[in-house]
Amino acid sequence: MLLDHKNSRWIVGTVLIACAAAGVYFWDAPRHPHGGSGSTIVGIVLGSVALALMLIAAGLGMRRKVPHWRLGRAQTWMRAHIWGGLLTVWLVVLHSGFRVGGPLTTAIWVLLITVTLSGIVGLILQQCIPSILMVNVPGETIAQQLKREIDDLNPRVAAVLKLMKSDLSKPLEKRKLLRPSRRKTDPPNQPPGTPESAASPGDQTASKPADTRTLEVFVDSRVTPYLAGDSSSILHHRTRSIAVFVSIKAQCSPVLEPAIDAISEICARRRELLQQRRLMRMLFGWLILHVPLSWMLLVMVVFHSVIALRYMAQ
Amino acid sequence: MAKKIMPAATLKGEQLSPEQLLAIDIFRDVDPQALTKFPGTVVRRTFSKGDVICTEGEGGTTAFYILEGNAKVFITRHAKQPKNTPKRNRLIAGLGRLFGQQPAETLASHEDSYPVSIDASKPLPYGSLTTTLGPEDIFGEMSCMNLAPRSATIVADGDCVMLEMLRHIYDVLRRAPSFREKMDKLYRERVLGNYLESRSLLRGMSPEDIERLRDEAELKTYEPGQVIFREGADPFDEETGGVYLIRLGQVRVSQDVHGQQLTLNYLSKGDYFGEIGMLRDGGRNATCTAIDHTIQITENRYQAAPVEVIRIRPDTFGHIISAYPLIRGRLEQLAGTRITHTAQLAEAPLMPALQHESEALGLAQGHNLMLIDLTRCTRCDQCVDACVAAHDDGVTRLIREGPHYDKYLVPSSCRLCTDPVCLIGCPVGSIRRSDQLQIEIEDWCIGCGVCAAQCPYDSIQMHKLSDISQDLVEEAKVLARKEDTIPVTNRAVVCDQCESLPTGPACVYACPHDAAIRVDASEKAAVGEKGSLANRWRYE
Repeated sequence: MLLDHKNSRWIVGTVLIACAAAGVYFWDAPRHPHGGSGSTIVGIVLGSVALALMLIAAGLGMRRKVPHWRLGRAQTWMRAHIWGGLLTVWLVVLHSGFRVGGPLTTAIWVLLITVTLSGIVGLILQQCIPSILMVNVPGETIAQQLKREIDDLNPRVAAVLKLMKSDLSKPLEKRKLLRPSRRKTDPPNQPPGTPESAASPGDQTASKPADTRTLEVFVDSRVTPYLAGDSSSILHHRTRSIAVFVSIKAQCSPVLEPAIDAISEICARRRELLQQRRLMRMLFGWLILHVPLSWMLLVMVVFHSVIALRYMAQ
Repeated sequence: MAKKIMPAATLKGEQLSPEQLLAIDIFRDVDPQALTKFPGTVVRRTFSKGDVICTEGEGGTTAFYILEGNAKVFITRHAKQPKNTPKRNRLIAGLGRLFGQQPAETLASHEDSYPVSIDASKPLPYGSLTTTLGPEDIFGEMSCMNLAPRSATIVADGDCVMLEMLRHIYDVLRRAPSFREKMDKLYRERVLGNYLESRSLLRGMSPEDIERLRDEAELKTYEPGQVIFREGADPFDEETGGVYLIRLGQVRVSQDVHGQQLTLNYLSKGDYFGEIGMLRDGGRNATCTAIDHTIQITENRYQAAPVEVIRIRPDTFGHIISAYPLIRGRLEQLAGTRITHTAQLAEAPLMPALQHESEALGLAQGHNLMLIDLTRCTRCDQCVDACVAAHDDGVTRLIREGPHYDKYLVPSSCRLCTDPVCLIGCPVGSIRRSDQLQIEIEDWCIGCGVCAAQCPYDSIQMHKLSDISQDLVEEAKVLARKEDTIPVTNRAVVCDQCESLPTGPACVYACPHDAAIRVDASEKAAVGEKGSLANRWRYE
């Protein structure tokens, strides 16, 4: 969730409740020989409120299962999850009387800190990664389609090569991919018929066989392995990839430039999709820690509550 | 011979000579030369009992005229068009109602149980969705004229003989006085009478008055683009006054708003219009224009089919509403509803200064345009999950993919267009605009995909049905007398704005990051101003 002015009321409310809780704690603590603790009335109340906030925070996950039920807007639940979760930490500190306690409570502390920190990391990532995705991955696709799109890139290159070979045997006006292009380095008045001339409109012959083979060898040795998953490939890096394709263009006939550009775009597409995948892993990766540890924390806190209350009753 | 784009005359069947054709009753007034121009464009075909003549949803280019015998016509009824009712057991259903979840609707809600119009000289009753055609009946007009998909399955119910014809011959027939008279008579007796009787609006009319209404109705034809009546015209005018019922083709209803024509609706076969002007003071409140598909017959030539309507004259209509106050009351109520919703559509100031990009994306069309703020969206897909959960068929109406506009994604979801071109061309009239302006697709959609192809924004998806009731399949097999009969397996789905949910659109309600929003056309200027938004709809 983007932390903007819409959270201001929640921030103010959280701070006020935190201050009120601290005020009550510090008013009550001197009345007890060992200071504030979880066994005092105030301590129990603080602990109960913290547990309630944990349950509300856990409710976000349940709310996702029934997204259209009239249970309040999802963003309200999300804000409650964030600010209620942060407040929980402070209430637990007050409830414990600034003590760690025995093995169970120590474990609870570790889980609480880990869950909270992972949540904060997630929140920070949510502030920046969506914008980065928007800017750096303009051709973003649906996450479930990522693998399919990546797997589809090699067949697309094969299709470009096939079209290129087909076009070479056709007259200019019937070509679908290859058109004569003029290199920037060509002199403006290149005599017609010169092998390096790219702009001769009457050129309807296939390019030299050697040029096609050069491109095909390049595709087989560099492009195909890269698109199949070779992340050590030079094509994995944008600037180096550009340099490589410029070099290939220089070695091939100018007639093949559209095909080379198309293959270059496909390689760029792979880089883009991989970047999307990396960013999305960052955006969701923290949940691998946050969600299971949260449930574990909740179970342990409930267990702690039951044991503690039972002990007190005895 | 037929051009490349027009279907070649390779009809199977017995080719008839012009003399043989002229001996058939419907051809008696036809110019013989017209029959010799394109040989093979009309053939005589013989079918045995159980032969499938055409199948619902398949492509068609010909019309059939029954000479002898009978044919059964039916469309396969599928699971009801899902409303916002997810699957759940009773306990959870009860809990759901506690939290405001509405109970499931079992039938598409209609004010009337009107007959289902199909591409034949008889409609289908809504209950059974089947009927029988006999000698002198015709079917496949829309396929023949507009290349529309077949609107029903037709199976020979005994030995029968038919003429199958391409458009050229059908055009020739339509110009013949004897054919026109016969078709008009059939229409009055079978379609118009049934239609008028079935309208709950006219409930309470005596059979004599129904018959009078039917007999006095005037059959008229308009060329595509021709205005039937203009906004402000006299509804009691001798030539253009009265109420109209569409027999064939489409009619565009539009209104002048701030100097521009705002399309309110597209009406098609079976719909009526013109009643508001008859009930209210002042002139017509909208312009109605005949439109229709054009078909390409050569690279540079197009052919359009005329629109046929039935006009109920002002004096006849006046008699009805004065003799039947209850009917007048119902009409007044309906007219009031339509006027209110028209005002809703027209009240937003139109056409603010739009950037070229937003015009190219067609954002101006959207009266309920969904946008996703990409700087907020964490790509959690809760919007899509909510859409799936909110509909019974488990299919999302929202696809989180589409063009970008500024920092927003414009996903594929119905925009509630100003000009809903998706309504054009449905062969069975199953797509319509509701009184609340949402696009609705009814139960008898045959899955032909015309509406999906028409939508310029990919907002209508074709969904493969996976849970067709076995009873329906068996019923279809019995009717078709073929074991390998396959019912329609696709259905069009479109965003219904979660109209029945108290929370409003589930996608917006379920977004935890406040990224999914819906805006109307008047807010696009604000959207264009670097992402500032005003007056977003909220569903608290």
